[in-house]
Amino acid sequence: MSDANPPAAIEIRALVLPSDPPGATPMDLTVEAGETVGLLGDDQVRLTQIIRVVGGLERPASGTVKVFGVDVGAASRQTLLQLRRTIGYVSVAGGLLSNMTVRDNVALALHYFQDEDGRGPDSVTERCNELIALGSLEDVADQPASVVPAEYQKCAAYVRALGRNPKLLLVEDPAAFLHPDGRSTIARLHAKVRGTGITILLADDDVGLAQRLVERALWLTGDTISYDGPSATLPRELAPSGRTMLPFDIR
Amino acid sequence: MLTDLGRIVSYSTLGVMAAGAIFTRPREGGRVVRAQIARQIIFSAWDGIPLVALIAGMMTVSIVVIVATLAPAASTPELIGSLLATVIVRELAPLTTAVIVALRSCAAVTVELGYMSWRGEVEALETMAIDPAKFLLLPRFAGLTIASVSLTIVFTATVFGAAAAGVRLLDVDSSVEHLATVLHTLVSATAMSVAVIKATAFGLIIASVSCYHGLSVRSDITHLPRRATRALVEVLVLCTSVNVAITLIAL
Repeated sequence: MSDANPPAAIEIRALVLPSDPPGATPMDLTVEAGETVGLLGDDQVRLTQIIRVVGGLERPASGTVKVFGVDVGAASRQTLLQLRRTIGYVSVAGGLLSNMTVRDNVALALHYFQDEDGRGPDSVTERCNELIALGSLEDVADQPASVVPAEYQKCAAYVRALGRNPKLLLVEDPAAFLHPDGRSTIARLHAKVRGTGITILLADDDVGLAQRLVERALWLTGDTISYDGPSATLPRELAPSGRTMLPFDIR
Repeated sequence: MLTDLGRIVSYSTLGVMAAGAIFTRPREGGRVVRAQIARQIIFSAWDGIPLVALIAGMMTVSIVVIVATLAPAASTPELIGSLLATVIVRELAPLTTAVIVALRSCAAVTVELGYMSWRGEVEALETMAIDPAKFLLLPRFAGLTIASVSLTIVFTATVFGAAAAGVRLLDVDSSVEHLATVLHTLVSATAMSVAVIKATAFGLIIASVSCYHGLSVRSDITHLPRRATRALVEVLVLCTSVNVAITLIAL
């Protein structure tokens, strides 16, 4: 029997974050499957915490956060591990394993779930090479992750998160640690994966970059959503001048 | 006191998580986890063989020299055999090996996991649905326990070899064959079992304490040196206490 009403990719109801002061306005948000949504605002710490709560890395103070119907605030560790098989996650710093090369990092989850995914060694290598090319990482692929410049680490974290074709991509702060070339690479990555039906939720205080990465933008003023609409029409007064920081192009 | 008890419960919990990781989702991580276990065994066991053999050999030569110098000639082989069987095989072999394994691996594991935890690498594993209990804890528990047991066996074998060499070189009033007969009589299966039980317990202690202190490093990297030192001290205290407890039970 087909499911007539599949759950939303993300459904947030009356969310109060652990860091919110007493009396904070609870947050509601629904992200449908296939949407690309940016949480924008001045308070990157708060924005990042929302992403972490959605990713099940932190528990909400109150309210419910459901990802593909699973209440991540109440889920057990094993349930979360199961859910995360369908989620790609990019943290602020990337979180590459520093005792491995960039290539080994990109291939880690592919190797780890190799039997489960039914991939042979050749298929893993092929997919890994695709991802290395997607992130423009050919020059640094065989260097230890710890010695590679931060922007490459971020790109590697991105392609690592996309490795197993997740249904949902969560990104804490795409602009962090990126120079202009890195920003172009990230934008190119987003442009490529956007057409695949993947749902994206990211949080960024760099409006200029975020507007180009997502189609729907939410502007958070404090704990209140003051804009929810197409990213292209985000009112300029919400994004103070100077917040679009670095030159940008999609090559 | 309660804090100490709580910490011991935490150590045990890590052990249970590592053991549980063997059985949960067995298709996951096969080759990757086996490679991690092999890496830990090579570092903690294989690379430690020369040091263990050297220390075991020198300790034995000291004992043989002391006994040969001080004891009446007629009782020398029995006394050497008795000392080797009871003091070295049952007591010093597992404990000294544990100290060597701890000195070589405890700080290394604590620092490695602490650094990973601080850099967000442990969290990154979780976001990739890779169970840190399986990817990080299981290899260290397996590797350190195998190292402790196998190096105890190496220690004991070296002791017997060094004793035979010492008897021959020092021209003790006894034949090597006589010493072998005495050792064969005195080193019982019980003594060897006690040594192996102790070595297993020490390996588990080293693994759980070093993993606990490593994973306890969160946002402040300056805690790392203190954690590494504390882990080593706790390992020494716990191993000595457990050694006495097992000795008393096995008497």
